[in-house]
Amino acid sequence: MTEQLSHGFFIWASYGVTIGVIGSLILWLTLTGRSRRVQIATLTKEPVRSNDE
Amino acid sequence: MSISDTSERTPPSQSLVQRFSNPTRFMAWSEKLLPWVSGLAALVLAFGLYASFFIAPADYQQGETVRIMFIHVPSAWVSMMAYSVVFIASVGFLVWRHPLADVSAKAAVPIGAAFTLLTLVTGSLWGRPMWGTYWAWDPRLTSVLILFFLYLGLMALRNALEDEQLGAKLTAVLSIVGVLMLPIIRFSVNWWESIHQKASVVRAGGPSIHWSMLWPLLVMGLGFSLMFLALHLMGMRNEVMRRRILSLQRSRAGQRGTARLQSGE
Repeated sequence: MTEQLSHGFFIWASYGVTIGVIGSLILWLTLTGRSRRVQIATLTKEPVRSNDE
Repeated sequence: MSISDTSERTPPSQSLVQRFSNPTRFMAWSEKLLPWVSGLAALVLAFGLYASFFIAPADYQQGETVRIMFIHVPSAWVSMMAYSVVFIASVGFLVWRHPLADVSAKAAVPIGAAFTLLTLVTGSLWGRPMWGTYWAWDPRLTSVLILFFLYLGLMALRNALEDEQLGAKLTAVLSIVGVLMLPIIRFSVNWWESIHQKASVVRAGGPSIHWSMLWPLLVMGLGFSLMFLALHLMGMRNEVMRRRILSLQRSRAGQRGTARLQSGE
């Protein structure tokens, strides 16, 4: 199996996985931060109502 | 002290660390620092990648496959650095009860888990052409796998408990016990028979790697460390915001209850 796979495959697979994992981590943290900022802004602006809707 | 106490003022008698670890101040200075750290990390990583592929020579035994080392070794460093942060923050939380220490510990865990996973995967992809196998139950490989499970355990434990304070305390205790894994990982190649190579950068007698490969590795190490710092700041900011949302929701619910009582409903 390895004989059929060149060393290039293992090198690019390593860098590919690294980019994938770190990219996902950055995306998750960025999107979470964005949605929380929106939520805080909504909660801060929202007027207090006496009844839950 | 609650993390959502945004209006608190730090008395001038408090130490510099205490001042900067005030949640409101943290959000202010981290917002300014984050773009600089992220930008610097991107620059250092870009240069490190260029050096890893185009300046560092191929190894006389490993050939081009040695280029995996430039991401495998920094990932391993960061996986242990992240655990050190979790450990120090957990001690800080248990001793001083500072909520930002718990925020720091909580934010570092998933990042540490991701880098440990990268260490295992890139090591495996290096091992297949070099050792002829993706995996061996070797002391170094097994201890890093245990570190990965420890990270997963810390996340699971915290999420399993509804009481956030109890979850924070128990995960802090587990983090402190788990720090034993760091010396085990570090010295596993010396204490037991291992197919993994011994320490070749931080070792008595100086690094055993040729300078032409060592400096790109150190640049990548710096880049990964800066990237960890940026990701950790992002994670901490997200956690502070999550706690602020919870606090706002609670105070809103309280205000609604009061308004309902006043209107006689």
